[in-house]
Amino acid sequence: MVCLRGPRAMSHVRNLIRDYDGFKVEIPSWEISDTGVTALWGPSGSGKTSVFRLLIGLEPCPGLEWTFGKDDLAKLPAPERRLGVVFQSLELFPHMTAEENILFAAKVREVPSDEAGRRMTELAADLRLTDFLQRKAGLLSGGEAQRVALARAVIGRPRFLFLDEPFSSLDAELRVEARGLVKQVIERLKIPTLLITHDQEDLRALAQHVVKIRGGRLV
Amino acid sequence: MSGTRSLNTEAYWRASLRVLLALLLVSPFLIWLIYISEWEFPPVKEWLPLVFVSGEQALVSSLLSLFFGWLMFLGAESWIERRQKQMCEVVLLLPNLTPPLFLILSLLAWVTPWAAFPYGLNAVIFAHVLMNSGLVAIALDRLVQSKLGGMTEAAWTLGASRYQFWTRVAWPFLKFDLACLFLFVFSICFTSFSIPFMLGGETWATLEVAIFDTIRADGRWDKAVILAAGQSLFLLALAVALPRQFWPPRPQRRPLPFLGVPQLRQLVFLPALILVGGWLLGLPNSFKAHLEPGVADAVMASLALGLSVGLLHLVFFLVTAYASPHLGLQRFLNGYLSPSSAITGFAMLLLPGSGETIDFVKLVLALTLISFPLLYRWIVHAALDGLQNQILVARTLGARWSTVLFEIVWPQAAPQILRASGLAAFWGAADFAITAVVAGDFNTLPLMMTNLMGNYSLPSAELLMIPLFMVSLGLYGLFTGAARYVSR
Amino acid sequence: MRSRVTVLLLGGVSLVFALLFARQLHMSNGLPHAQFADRKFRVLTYGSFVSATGPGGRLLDDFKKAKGCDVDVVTVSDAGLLLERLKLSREPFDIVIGFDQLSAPRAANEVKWKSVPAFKNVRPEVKLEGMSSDFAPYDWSPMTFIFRDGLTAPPQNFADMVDKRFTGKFVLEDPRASSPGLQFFNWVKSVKGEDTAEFLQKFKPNVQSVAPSWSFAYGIFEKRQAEFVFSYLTSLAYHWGTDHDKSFRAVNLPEGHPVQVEYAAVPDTCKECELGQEFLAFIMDPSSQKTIMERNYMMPALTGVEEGTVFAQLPTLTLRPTLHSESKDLNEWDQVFKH
Repeated sequence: MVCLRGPRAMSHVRNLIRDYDGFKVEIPSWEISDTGVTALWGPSGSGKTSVFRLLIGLEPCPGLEWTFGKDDLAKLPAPERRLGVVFQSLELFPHMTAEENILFAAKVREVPSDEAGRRMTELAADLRLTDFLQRKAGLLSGGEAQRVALARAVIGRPRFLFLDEPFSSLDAELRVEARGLVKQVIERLKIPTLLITHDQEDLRALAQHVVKIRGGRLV
Repeated sequence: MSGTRSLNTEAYWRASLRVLLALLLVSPFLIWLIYISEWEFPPVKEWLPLVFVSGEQALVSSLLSLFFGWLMFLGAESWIERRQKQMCEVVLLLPNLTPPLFLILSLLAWVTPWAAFPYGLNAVIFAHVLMNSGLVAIALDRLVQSKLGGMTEAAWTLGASRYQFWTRVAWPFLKFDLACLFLFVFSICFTSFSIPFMLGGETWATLEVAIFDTIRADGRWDKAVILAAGQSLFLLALAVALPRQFWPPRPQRRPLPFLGVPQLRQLVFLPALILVGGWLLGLPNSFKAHLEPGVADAVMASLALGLSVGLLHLVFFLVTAYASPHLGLQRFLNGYLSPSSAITGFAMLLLPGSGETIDFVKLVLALTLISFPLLYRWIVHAALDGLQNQILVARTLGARWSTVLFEIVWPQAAPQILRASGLAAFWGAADFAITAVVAGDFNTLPLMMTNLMGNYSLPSAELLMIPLFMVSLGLYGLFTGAARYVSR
Repeated sequence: MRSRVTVLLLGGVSLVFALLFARQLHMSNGLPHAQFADRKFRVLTYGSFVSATGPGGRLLDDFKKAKGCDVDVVTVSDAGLLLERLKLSREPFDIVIGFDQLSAPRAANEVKWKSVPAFKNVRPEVKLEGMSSDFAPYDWSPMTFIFRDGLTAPPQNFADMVDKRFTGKFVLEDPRASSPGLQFFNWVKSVKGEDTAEFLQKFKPNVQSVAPSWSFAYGIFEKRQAEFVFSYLTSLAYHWGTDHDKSFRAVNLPEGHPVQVEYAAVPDTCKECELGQEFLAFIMDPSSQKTIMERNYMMPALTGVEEGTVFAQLPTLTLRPTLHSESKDLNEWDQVFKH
């Protein structure tokens, strides 16, 4: 097993082990860089999404330890881990406008409204959201929805950002643009990011660290 | 050319079957329309108060069912393991599946040893809530899983509290579905008969009871049919206004424990405990009794009746599947509720033919007409609706409708169709309302129970609940077992 | 897939036929059902009359053997539905059993009946004025409140029934859904006249429940939810004779009690009219009357039948003239009880 370590690896995962009736995720130890973008890269069925869901806390993983600074995030329920997540299916709230989706995240993170407004303006500029902020999320195109999902994930200043195949539903041209915008936002906000992907182009464009996974194990 | 002819023939058959199905379902009304020569519209002052009481009862029952169902849903979500979830589903559905007679006897067994049973509107509402809140809990689970599953996870990881999730995400998104769910429960409570008849005391808690009394006391079929038709039209209109069916197919399950409230876990079991506990409390009394002669005949009669009703439902569901998708048919089936047992049962008597065999067939048909629309709406519609895209693909490839039915629809919808047929068999075996009207000398277990109750033999009647429950469950098991055979 | 559906349906239908055949065999004790097929005699009655513990089964068996005919029994759950079932039936009935004096007048008006001979030794209590002679009374009973000894002392007269000591202790039947219920209402009306509504209003707090049927009301009483149930005097015969429990008593009011009389009649549309008439004569025979008395728990219509039985020990109640019109005017009841 080979792990690529960052210069100051402050996020340490231990005992990321879960049996799924025929498939097992088995990562006894993993140091995830607390800066830049770490890509978890592997083919379909390698366990990337399972790892993603286990780390976020959507599925139980008894014995998991995940130290981040002084905190063991594994002991906290998902809302208290203060993670930003962009799901593969984006999961915007279709009955809310794009702006409402983003501000919802700010509200639940108890960001003061003037601060939320300021962040909103910045993100709208960074991700070019201004033209469709008032449109219902259910009516956005794939690329627009993806940018809104990212804005929603970062407005609360999460301690870690998870991106689960964020560009898979976009065409080639849009992907190039999207990667650029995502990179820009991550770098500006300096949020450590775990990028789940099987696309080599994503690695080239975004990742500072690459971790390969196959059969539920890091290779 | 022959391909075109055969497609036209299929189109003709499908259209004919749709019409035939709709006509069969409304046939009790049509039969009475032909039979009754003089019609008198019941005076407004006679039926309007009934509508208000019925509406009030149904409104309170359904609102409370929705509220307690929501609490049970929250409790059920805190059970995480797959087997625990399956157990929750069975336990939650048990009161709804149980024939009303069991439910009533269980309730009486809890209260009567210690206090007077509070008959009246409140008792009817309580029984309806007991019966329906589990159903609401499961419907909410299906809705949340299928429509909100991903959003729930997103909201949770963003840090939303349960309150924020329910008020900002779930409620605005699901309100139309919740309205349809409310309408479904409202229809059940509005048209309920056995529970308000037995527990309502001096209050006519539903129009159905009033319809029965109009027939019994006055023999005024014209009034009764008009009231029943008005009721059906009213509910159909509501259903057309809220056409979205509320019961999504069983979705890919993902655990949503963050929605669950662990303190409400045990609430999931409460209705089933009341039901089963009441029955167990009444058992010692029953053991003083003995099984009356004729039980074996009654068991065979109930088995034959339940099985036939289940089989006829199966045929009806297959016909519906073949004739679907069709918006008009779906809207009709999702909105129409059959007229009361008395109106349907006596309408069958007016059909030509008599004798033991014909009476049996009429009885089976009557029971099917009563429960088919409800079971279609509750279980089968979602199964068929979920296959629309596949049907479209198959048709685009050139498949005939019969091929679509047997190769695409049936293999995937068979479990739900057979489960619904099994439920029909369960209810058919436990029916006493229609059987009492149509059966003649076909003595089933429920009839035997009511006859014994009429002859000072209440403990013997209660003892018969055991074979009745076994027969009903056995029939349900037979159909669900058939589902496994078909799925192999 | 098509074949599996076919297997399911055919298998299911075969199982139904097998069950029905097995049931038929079992009921006819393995003998071909057509043994007595020459003449088929159709009876319409209510369910408990021909239930396992009722008198009808035994009577019909004896009649079948005596006459060499087959019997088809059609039942309704509630005697109140007899007339509707008769009118709507495609095949004629040869005798209808189970009308009472409240439902018989409507039946007499709406359907034609064969005349029946006058039977001997018929008790005067069952000869109700104005009742059609086409309807033969086969049993009867005074109506009263049944209670258990040792609990609340019974009412001494009609006015006493509204006393506060009886709060929540009475169970009645709904007059719209049940003949005993209508009996009670008519009884109050005949005693109280214009003050009926006032009486019912005062009585209402003493009513624990209004049940949809006699059997339900009696079930409430048997489960001790109520102390007084409006029922037949002959209910005592069940408790004293069958249950051997003499703690049960009947209320005896000086104002007098109504009676319930049950009738049988032969419809004019009968096919086997002679058999219908013969069965009518058969149930009016003393030995059949004894069977009816002991299994239906009602007084026999003929004199002398109850001698030496527990029925002879029943208290004698003052009877009052019984209304035998099926009064539809339930205004006072609705005012007080209906919501």
